[in-house]
Amino acid sequence: MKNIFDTDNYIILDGAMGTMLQKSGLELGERPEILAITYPEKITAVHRMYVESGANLIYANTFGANALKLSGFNYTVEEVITAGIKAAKEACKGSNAIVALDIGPLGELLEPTGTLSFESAYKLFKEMIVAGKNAGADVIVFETMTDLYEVKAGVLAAKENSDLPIMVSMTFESNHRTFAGCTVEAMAITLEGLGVDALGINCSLGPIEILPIAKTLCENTKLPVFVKPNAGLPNLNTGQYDINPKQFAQQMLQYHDIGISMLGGCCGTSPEYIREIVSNFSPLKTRALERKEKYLPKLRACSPTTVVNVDHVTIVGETINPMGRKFIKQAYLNDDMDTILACGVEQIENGAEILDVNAGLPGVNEKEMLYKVVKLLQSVVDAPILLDSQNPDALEAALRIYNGKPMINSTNADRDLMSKIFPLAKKYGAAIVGLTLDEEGIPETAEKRFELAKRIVETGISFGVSKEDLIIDCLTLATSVQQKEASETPKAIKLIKEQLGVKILLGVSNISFGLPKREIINRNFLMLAMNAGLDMPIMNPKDEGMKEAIYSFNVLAGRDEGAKLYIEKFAENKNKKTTNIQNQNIDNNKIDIFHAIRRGLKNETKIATESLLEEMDEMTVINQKLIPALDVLGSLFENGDIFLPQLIQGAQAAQSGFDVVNRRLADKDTEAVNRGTIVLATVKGDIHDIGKNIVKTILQNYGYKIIDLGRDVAIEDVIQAVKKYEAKLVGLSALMTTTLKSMEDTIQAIHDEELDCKILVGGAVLTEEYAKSIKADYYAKDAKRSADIAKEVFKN
Amino acid sequence: MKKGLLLVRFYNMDIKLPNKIKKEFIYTCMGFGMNEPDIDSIKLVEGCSKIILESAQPKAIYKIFPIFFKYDEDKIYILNEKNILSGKSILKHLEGCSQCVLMAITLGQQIDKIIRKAQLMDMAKAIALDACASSLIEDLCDQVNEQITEELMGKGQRLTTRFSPGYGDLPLYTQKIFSNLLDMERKIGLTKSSEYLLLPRKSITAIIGIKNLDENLYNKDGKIYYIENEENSCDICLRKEQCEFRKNGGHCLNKQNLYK
Repeated sequence: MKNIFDTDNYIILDGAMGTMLQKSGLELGERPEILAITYPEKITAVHRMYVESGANLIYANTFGANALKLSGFNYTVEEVITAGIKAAKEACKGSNAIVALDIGPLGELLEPTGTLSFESAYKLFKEMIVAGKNAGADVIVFETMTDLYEVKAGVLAAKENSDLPIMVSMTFESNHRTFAGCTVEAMAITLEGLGVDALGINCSLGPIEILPIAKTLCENTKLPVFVKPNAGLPNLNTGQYDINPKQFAQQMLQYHDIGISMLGGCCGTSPEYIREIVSNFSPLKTRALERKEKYLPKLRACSPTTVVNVDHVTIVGETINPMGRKFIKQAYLNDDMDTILACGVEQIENGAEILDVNAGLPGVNEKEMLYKVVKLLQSVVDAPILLDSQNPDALEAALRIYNGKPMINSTNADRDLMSKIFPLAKKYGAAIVGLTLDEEGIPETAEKRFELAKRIVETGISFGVSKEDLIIDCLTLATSVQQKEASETPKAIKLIKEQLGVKILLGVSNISFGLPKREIINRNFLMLAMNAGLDMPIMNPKDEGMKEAIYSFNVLAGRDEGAKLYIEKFAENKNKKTTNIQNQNIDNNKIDIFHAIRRGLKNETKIATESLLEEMDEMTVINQKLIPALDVLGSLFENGDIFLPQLIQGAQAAQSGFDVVNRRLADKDTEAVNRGTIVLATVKGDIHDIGKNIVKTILQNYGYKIIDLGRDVAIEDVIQAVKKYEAKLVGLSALMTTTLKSMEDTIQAIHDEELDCKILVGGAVLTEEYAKSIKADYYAKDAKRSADIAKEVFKN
Repeated sequence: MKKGLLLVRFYNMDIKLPNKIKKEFIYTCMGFGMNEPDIDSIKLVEGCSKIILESAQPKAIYKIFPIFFKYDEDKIYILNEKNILSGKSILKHLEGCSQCVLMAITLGQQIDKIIRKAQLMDMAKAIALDACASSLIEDLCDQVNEQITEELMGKGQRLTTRFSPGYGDLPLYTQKIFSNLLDMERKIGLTKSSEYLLLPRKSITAIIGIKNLDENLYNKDGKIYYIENEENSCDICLRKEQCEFRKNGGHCLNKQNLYK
């Protein structure tokens, strides 16, 4: 069955079902999938018209037959899908046409934009797939998809619960992106990696508009490509699609040259359109093989919106790693995800194109943590992620929920480890780094490291990983300790690059360990390594010296066409420098910390705090300067002299002062300032979180430790967090009248558990009286009031 | 199966973005009320307006449907008995109408992402971005509304103001009707959560009643004229006590008069 696409004859797909059903009198507001049970002959009749027009592959009428969309209709998913497949099979009798289980979007958005979890989406798809397989579907088609993440849940469900071939087509708008922002290239490399059998585009646009998008798709995959355009664009006056069957089939002819393998129609098309396609295409052989032969494989990673093509020296940000970074370590131990996420965003802003993410440290469950960090990080950054772990469980948990094509860092030449990690790379379509070391350690010579690299590459390929997805790290040794061995690294890079033709990754800064002025050694070693063939330095993207080396190398090596990136970078940097100079001109002694916080000036507050710390100890700075300044700010806000944005900006400025103090405390191995632990959550069912986050910003800046549970938080999660962190105050937020009930239930549960904590509530529809009636201890009308309440509760 | 389909008219449109977002609504959302914003906040809003205008991908859809009143049950059917509007407030709002417009509009998913990211890096910026996006979606909703009004006025019909699920006692689950009848998920990428909240966040759905001219007074000044069934919609608003517009003696439907 797998080789149904392995032909140079065009496979003809069917046309619209919805359009045909509407013509036959289907009422809007009804789930069309149910007609396979109520009027099976009507459905079969439509399918049969397509079979008779010459379609080889019929999409069963199961598009929206998922448990979400069928809820309230008194039919199970299994019943509807079984009937749908049966109706389609009935129509195919006596022909060679085969039947696809047709799966459309679930109808609810996945996290982070929506509330549906990846795991729930998987279960919903699985239910459809099991039903479809049992009913005898020949193929599984996902169509009209707009969210790559949802597609990934579906494809995993399909692969793990059936052996049927999988086709996926997504819907692109005129800006060549889906509603969710996914690009064609990201779709192609992610889904090819996941082992999909054919890729396509359907709906939204007509043949003319889809052509350039389909061309990009054809250029970015080896897989068979299919298209199902609409019958042109809807006419704004009549709402009807604007091209007839002959025009449609004529326009479709252009797709022959780009190398597609299958074609049919979407909205507005009818059997007549399919008949015209058949008559145009049946004499032709596809040019898919020709396209496949021309395809150049290359190392890429992506999120849905951003593809990184490693055809130049590509900076990998190294900072999200607890090794040697106290603030990251502390953040992991305190479950403080915001610090980790902000660190990710900051690295991207500083020029990192890929983010290395390491969540391994004693006292933290790596599997849970890596999963959590990746899930959150991908909601705020577009750069692809390099998953830094050798723990197969942790890797698999993160690979599953990664939205796009990730990279793995790493395996090494140890056969046992390779046999655990390569299958993961293969299954989830990830690129993977191999370290040139094995159970005996790092070889001293370049030649021996090359041997290990060769073993890694050969083993990876034997596990089915594509060669272009293999990356070698030949390891950096400290030149102060092992000078001779360290000098072997550039040699090894050159050898591996030339002989094996794979990309090279390297953590650079270890070279200078133990030497003064490390940046000089780092920069020059980086130059040597790039010259030998280094593609992906793992580094701190804030290191300007190294970045200068990289940007100039990309120009000199002809990898930055027209020096575009270099000019962009250094034209911008010129501005940055001037602001730095301005800042340096500030007379440190003259900055009044009250004034700086009042005006929301972060840098000035930081400088003022630093100079205050020369005269006072940390706690004095907090109690006599930072907190009083916040109090002044608070009363200005209360009196209506300043407004919310100014309050927040002032609080954020104060935060930069707290950061200075906390870093100093961390250096002394003293715990960061914590004036009390507070759990915050937007209640179950509610997704409005900006109000809660404002409260969080203010409370944090008063030195409270905030456990932020996010939005749409289940009652048991609130209870658990209060217990785990022994929080004495819980803040609950709800913005809708419909979710006040959920707030009341959460409060009730806290009381039932007899937890020793006060409850604070806030949100647009709440009032003091209502808060009392649902047994909250406090009502905060705004963020300032929540800070007053915290002071009262913690008596500070 | 009954045939109701021919009565349905269908429009799917890409909307034009304005050059600027109306400032007044932004500052109200940010908590300034009627007060003059400070210079830093003005600068912040300028920057954020630009970001929102650059990243918004507005899409809208509307269709016209016949409606049927079931007074004995306090219900209105749209198109057929599968699509029920319930509650006294919508009954009053659509009184005397024979058709309605269902409209849905969204700024798209990118806006949500931008605001999400800003909340992590700079909360003040997040508040400004959120306010700019809220203001923009209102502006665009007005734009679509005006377009519909102009078109129907030319055909001798008049419109009520917009009424959305969650206003008065019209339940939030009415969003389901929009999904079913507008196919808004597929056409403009607008979905609802299991709790019937619209996603992407910056989106609006609304019902507008349509009356034929002969059923009511003529429009005297020749301008766009709304039926006054709901002359003081604040009465039914659950948030009237906390409303920033009302605090300043204004009305959310009449933003531009606020600051005179």
